[in-house]
Amino acid sequence: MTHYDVIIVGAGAGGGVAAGVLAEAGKRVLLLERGGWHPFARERRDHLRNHRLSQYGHNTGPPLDGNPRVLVDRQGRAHLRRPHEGGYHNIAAGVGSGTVVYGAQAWRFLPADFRMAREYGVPAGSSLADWPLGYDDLVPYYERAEREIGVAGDGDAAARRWPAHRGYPLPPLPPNCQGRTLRRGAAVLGWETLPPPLLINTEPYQGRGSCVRCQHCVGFACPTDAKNGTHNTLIPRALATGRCDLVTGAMVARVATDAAGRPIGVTYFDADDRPVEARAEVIVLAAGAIETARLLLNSATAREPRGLGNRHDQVGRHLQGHYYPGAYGLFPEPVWDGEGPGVSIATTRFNHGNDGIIGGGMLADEFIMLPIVFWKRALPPDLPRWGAANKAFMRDGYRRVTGVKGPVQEIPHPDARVTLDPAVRDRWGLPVARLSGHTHPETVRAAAFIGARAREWLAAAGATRTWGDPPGLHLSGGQHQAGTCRMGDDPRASVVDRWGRVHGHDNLFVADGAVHVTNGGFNPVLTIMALAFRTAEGIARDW
Amino acid sequence: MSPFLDIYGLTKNRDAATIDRFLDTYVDREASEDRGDEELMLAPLDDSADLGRLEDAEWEPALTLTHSIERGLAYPRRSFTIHLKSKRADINGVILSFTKDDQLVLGLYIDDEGMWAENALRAKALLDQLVEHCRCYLGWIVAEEPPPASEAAFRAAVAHPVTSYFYAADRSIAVTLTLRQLEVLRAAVDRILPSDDFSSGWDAGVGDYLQRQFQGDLSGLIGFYRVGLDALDAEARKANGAGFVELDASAQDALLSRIDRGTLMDAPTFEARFFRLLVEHAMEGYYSDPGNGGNRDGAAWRMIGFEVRG
Repeated sequence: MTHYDVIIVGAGAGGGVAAGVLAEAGKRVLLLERGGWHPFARERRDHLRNHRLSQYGHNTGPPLDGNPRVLVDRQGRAHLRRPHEGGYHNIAAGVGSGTVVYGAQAWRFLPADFRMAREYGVPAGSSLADWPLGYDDLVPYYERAEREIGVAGDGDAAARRWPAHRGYPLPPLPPNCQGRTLRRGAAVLGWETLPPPLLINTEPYQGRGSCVRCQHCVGFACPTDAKNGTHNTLIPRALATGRCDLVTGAMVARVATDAAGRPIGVTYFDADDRPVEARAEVIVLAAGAIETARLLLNSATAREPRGLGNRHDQVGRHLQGHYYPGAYGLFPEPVWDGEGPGVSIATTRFNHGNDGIIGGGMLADEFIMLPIVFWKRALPPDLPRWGAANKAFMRDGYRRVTGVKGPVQEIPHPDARVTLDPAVRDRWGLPVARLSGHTHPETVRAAAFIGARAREWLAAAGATRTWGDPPGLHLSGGQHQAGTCRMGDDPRASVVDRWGRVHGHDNLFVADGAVHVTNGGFNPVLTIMALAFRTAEGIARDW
Repeated sequence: MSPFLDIYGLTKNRDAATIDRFLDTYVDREASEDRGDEELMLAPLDDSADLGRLEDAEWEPALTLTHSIERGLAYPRRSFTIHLKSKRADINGVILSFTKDDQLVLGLYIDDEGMWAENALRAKALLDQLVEHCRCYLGWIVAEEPPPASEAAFRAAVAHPVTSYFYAADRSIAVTLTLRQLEVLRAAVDRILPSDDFSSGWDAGVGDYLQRQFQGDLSGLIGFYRVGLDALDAEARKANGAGFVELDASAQDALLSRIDRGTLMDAPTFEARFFRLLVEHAMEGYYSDPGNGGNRDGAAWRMIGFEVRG
């Protein structure tokens, strides 16, 4: 049996960063990833099977068969879900995970995002809490993520919004037509805007070329490898040290423990479904908020019969992601020029300070919409779904419609959670994740407020009509999944400490969105990366 | 290799005039006359005999086409088949078959390259011509099946579900839609995405998209489609006295709108659920990438102004 210093489960945003930092710090690292590599040349551009529209599948793992989850609806009925189906709350399985196919928005959380309970109080029924660390603690790691993975943005605008912001290594893309249109609307309203920071090379950087502004950014691999993720930065750096073994197709079944219940490694199934034992001094879980929680629950010991790190019934709770309210607007003139990635203007005006609302969220314009996505999601609700009128609207409207939307800070609910399904097993015989509960009603109120701001912005920019669905109460998670192993100083109310270390275990860490106490009103990936830098640095420093 | 679609018409007129009319229309007689060393395989009269078992058959030299036809006309219960060269570029070959109950099966076959839905519709058009021209009373289109050797066998074949189109490359899961269902499908798709300055849904390849999907993601929905298309046709007959295909466009639209709104105890009716699903699938075929089989040459993207750059 091979013995490593560190085993990392999951090669996504968090695990990839941890692998790079620890391998460069001299540790021997085993990086286990259940998916494989997803280069553009192989994945191409199937409009019905991608991470924007997974109608019949997607362009990454996990395979559609053999990887089910169970979703419990509000009436208590359990539904079997496959990875591409609604309610599964999938994240890409593969080297780089979501960082291969994301839209690459690289937002820092705001200082108030780390102290939501103090700012707003805790609404009844919610598990809203403050983080055990603050924005200031993360600043150096946000900088590392921005520099070492590569973020393009407007440093001056960022410095006006975030304390101690020293700018970005790459300049922002110029706004496209929809962005210029919305900039005029924001000027009318007096709203300050900025180009969304993006993990995209706008100039050649770190040996790779720049964005060609294609129309298939979010949901797809990048045709010029200009989209920066862990698959083309920290993971190659880890491999270049010669001290990191990356094993793809590796499904981790459990954290292996000794007789005293102390983690000693993992048991995983390799690509040929053979069980493999691997041993290490330190184990880092970064499988995504749902799978990390599942793995801890599937690793129960005599000492911790409800799951590793779960003595206080916290593992799997507070599951959250983002409500994504927004609106579409129809303009008299074309607002589509096809200049990708599409998203080019944002406002953070409504992240906090909204009267009667807890938190809020960032608003930005849409990525270039694929035609079939436009048909399925963006048409006015009163338009016939078929026939001459529908076809005419598609023809005349596609270039005259744009959308504004954004991630709303969720108010966590302790019963929105991951447990193990008592009956359903995956293809390796492991109990699957059972997802149940829903967000707190305050999230829905905030989402309705933000949706109204989206319509206001579109109208001010000249939209002759706007439309958008009102939010309902449901479980959230998806690609922004977080919260299931929340960070805190009190072991009775959290799963990991402020260094990502699982309470009660000196050698077991979590380095993905699971540790987020709250998930900000922003795309969370930069925060996941920054925390992974910090957690990995802490591991290396202490040992 | 792509399979062929066989187009068969059955006629009771086992006579020289009918054969001449058939041969004159479809066959390169000169190239087909010399039969070389070919032998005619005469089907046994015993119905229980296996037609495929060569040892059960009797054989005699074919000699020439003229001679073979004479033998078939002289012996009304003698059953055999000859393959002839087509004189038309759109038809790959011709089949003349004598049944054992004094009838004729007249056959044409076309290359089903790509197995597109278009080919099935082309076959249907050829069958219509054949039936009219040679006064056939039964027609059958199938992928590579031998001509039936009697009226009873012909009727059994037509009634069998293999009588239809959208069959999969893997013949074991053969067929999905009957020709009628296919026609209803085409008509409905062309109301969902009607022709205007730009291609209709069917013309832009929605049928081809569905054909591919029926062999993949939607294979489990074939039964739903069959029942759904039949129900749509039945609704048309109930309301208008004519099948869906026979209605004019505005009557089709009115019917589809009514079906679309249909509810039963606050839930959509079966017909409404089927139609809404068909709408989703039609739009997927029309607006998604051509790699999925529809949106022929990116026609839908040109229409709306979606450009792929980089």
